[in-house]
Amino acid sequence: MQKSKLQFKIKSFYFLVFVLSLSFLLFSFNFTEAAELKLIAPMQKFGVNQQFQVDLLLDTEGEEINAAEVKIFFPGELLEMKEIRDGNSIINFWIEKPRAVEAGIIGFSGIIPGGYQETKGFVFSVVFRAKTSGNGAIEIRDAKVLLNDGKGTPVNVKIPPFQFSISQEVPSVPPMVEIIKDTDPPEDFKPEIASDPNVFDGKWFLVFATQDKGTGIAYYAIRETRREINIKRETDAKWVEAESPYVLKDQKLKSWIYVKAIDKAGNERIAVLPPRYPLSWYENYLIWVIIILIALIVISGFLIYRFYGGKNSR
Amino acid sequence: MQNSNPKFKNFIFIGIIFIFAFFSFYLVFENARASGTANFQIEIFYAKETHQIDTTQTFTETLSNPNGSSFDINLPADVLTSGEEIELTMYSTPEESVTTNKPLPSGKLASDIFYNISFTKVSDGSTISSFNKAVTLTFYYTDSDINGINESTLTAYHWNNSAWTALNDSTVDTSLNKVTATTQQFGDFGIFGDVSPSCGDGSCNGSETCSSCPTDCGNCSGNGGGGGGGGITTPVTSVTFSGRAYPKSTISLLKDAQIAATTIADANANFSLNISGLSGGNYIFSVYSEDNKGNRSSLLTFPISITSGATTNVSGIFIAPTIAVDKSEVKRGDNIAIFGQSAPQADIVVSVNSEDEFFGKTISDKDGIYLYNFDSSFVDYGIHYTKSKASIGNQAVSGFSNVISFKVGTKNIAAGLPSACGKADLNCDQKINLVDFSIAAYWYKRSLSVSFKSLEVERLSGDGKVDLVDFSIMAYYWTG
Repeated sequence: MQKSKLQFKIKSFYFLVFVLSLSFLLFSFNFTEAAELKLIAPMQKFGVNQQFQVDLLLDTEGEEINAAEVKIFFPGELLEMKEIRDGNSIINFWIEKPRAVEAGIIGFSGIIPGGYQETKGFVFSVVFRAKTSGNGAIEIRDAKVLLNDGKGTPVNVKIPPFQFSISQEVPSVPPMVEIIKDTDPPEDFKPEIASDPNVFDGKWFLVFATQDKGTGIAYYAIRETRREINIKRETDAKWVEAESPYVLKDQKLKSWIYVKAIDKAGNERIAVLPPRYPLSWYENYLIWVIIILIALIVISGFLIYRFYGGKNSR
Repeated sequence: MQNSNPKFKNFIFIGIIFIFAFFSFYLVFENARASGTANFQIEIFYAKETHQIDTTQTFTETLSNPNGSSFDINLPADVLTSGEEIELTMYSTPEESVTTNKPLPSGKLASDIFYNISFTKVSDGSTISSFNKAVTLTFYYTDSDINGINESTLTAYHWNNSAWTALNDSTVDTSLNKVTATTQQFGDFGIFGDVSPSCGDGSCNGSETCSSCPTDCGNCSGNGGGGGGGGITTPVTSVTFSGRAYPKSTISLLKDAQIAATTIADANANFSLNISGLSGGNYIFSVYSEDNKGNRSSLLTFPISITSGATTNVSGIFIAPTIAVDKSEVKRGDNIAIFGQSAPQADIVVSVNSEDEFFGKTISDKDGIYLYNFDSSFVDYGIHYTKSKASIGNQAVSGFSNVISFKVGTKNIAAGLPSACGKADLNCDQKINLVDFSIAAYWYKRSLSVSFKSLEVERLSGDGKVDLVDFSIMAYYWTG
C-alpha cells in the first residue's frame, strides 16, 4: 500500500515536471515569434450617422520589428471611411501610405529603421461613419510583420477582430473622434539629390520625407528656380505638388530647390537646397540686364555729350 | 523482443521527461540570454536644479517652469540633527511621465506638472529618506495646469512607494494660485483635486474662462484686442542623449531614421548629443558609432514620447562594440582573430555560435581596442557566427554587436577589406538611407530590369523581386 502511494507521489512529481516544462516551452515560443496588431476604439456600440475613430496599435511582444504590411477589411454596407490619420505614427517610411485600396479595404506597408520594441505602437487611425444599423467586424487580414534581424524573418501575428454594433439610437457618449489641435509645423528635414542608373534612366531625382506629430503630412510641394527667392512672397501657384522620389526638371542642377511639407492643419515647413552647380556670372540674366543698362546709360551719355558738346564748341 | 520490464519503462519515461524538461528550460534561458538588452535611463523634466545645502542654516529655493508655474522648497535650520552637508536635487516633470506607473487615486485629477525632490549626503552620496524637521513645499500653478479640476479642492499629495497620500496640512490659496504643505519625506509630489463639475460639459458657464476651461470656452488666442507688450518665451522641447561609445569615435543620432546630429566621443569614450526644436509626440531615435577602422556599430533604438516644453534626458547609453575577423575562412585547428572597438578597459564577451555557443572573455585596451583569438578546433567545419558585447563593472552593459560570419574549412583565407557596397546599399555610397529606400520603392511590385535583378541578388534578399522582406533588410542595415 505504502509502495503504491510512493509510486503515485513519484508519478505526480514527474507529471508536475512535465507540466512545468510544457508551460516553460509554451512561454518560450510565445516570446520568440509573435506580435499583435490591435484595433482599438473607445466603444463598440454606435448610433447611425455617428463618427468614431479606430486606432491600429502594434504590440511587438518583446520582439524587435522593422517592417509591416497589413490589409484592414471593413463592411462597406455598414461603415463609410471618412479619414485616415497617420500623424505621430511609429512607421518612419511608408512604402504604401495607408489608403483605401479597394471598397472596404484599407492597405499599407512601411518600415521602422533600427527596429521597434514596444507594447502600444501607434500605426494610424481610421475615422468611420456608421451608415446603417447592424452588427459587423473590422478585421485585419494578410498581415506581414517582420523581425529586425537582417533577414526579414516573419513573426506570427495575433489579429483579434474589432466587433461593433450600430443602432438607430445614438448613445450619449463623449466625442469618439479625437480633436487634434495642431499648431506645430512638420519636422525639420533635409532633401537629398541623387541619381542611379537603375531608376528614372539615370536622371537626377530628389528624395525627401518628414513627419508631422499632430495631424500628419497632407502633401509636399516643390519649387525649382534659377534664382534664390523669398519664400514668404512666393505664391502657391508657383509650387508644384510632388511625391518623393521626384525627378528634377533642372537636370543641370543649377537651380535652387525648395521643398514644402504641409500638414493636414495647414502648417508648413520649408527645406531649401542651394544649387549644386551655381550659375556662372555670365549665365545670370540679371547681370546682363545691369550690363546692358549701364552700357545704354554710357552710350546715351556719350551721344548727349557729343550732341550738346559739339553745338557749344561751334 | 519487447521489453515489458516496468523498471525499464519507468526509466524510459523518466528519461523522456528529463530530456524534455532540459530542452524546455534550455530554450527559455537561451532566449533570455540572447535577448538581454542594454540598460539606460530616460528622464523627462521641464526644469531641474541641484544645490549643496548647509543644514545648520535655513534654505529656500525656487524651481521655475517654462509655463510660468513654479515650486518653492523651504528648509528650516537644523533640519538634520547631525548638521551634515547635503545635496538637493529637484525637478519638475509632465504628469504622464509619473502617473503611467503611479496611478492617481480614484476620482482625482492631477495638475499637469509633478515634482520630485531627493536629498543625498555630500560625504558619502547616500540617500536621505527623511528629515528631523518638516520642510515646506509651495506649489504655484497656472490656470491651464489645473484644467478640469475644481480649484478649491486642490491638495498636495506624496507617493509613498505604493500609493498617493494627501499631505495633512495642505492648504490652497485660489487667489494666489498656490498650494502649501509640509513634509518630512521625499520623492514624487503632485497637486490633485476633484473633477470640476462643469468644465468639459460643453458649455462655458460659472467661473469658467478660456484659460481655466478651454474645452468649453475655446482657446484664448482669439480676438481679444488691447493689451500688448511683454514677450512670450516659447518653452524649448529638447532631448539629450549621453553615454559611452569608443574613444574619439563619431556618433550619429538619427531622429525618425534621418541623421539629426553627430558628435565625437572624448578619449574616455563619453559622448553627449542634444537636439531641440522638437514637437510633442512619438519619436524613434537611434544612435550608432563608427570605430577607428570605419566599422559601424549596430543601431541602438529608443522609441520616446516627447512632451512639449520638457527636456528629455536619455543617459547611460552604452553603444555595442564593433566586430571584425581577420580571416573569412580559417583552417580547422588554427586561430581566428575576432576584434573590434569598445570603451576603454571594458570587459568584452565574444560569442561564437555554432551547434553549441562558445563564450570567450577579453578586456579592451586604453583605446577601446579588443582582440580575442578563437581556437577553431572547438567547432565543426562550416559557417559560424560571432558577436560581442561589452560591460563595465556591473552597471554599464552594452547590447550585442552586429553578427558576422566566418567559415571553418581546410585553408586560411584572409578577410578582405569591407566591400565598398555593403548589404542594402543600392547606390553604393556607403550609406543606407532614403535614397536606397527610394530606389527600392521604385521597383516595388514591378518586374525588375536585368541590371537591377543582379543588384537585388547581391544586396537584398535575392529572390528576384522587391517586396517587404527587402525593405526589412534595408531597415536593419540603415545608417541614415
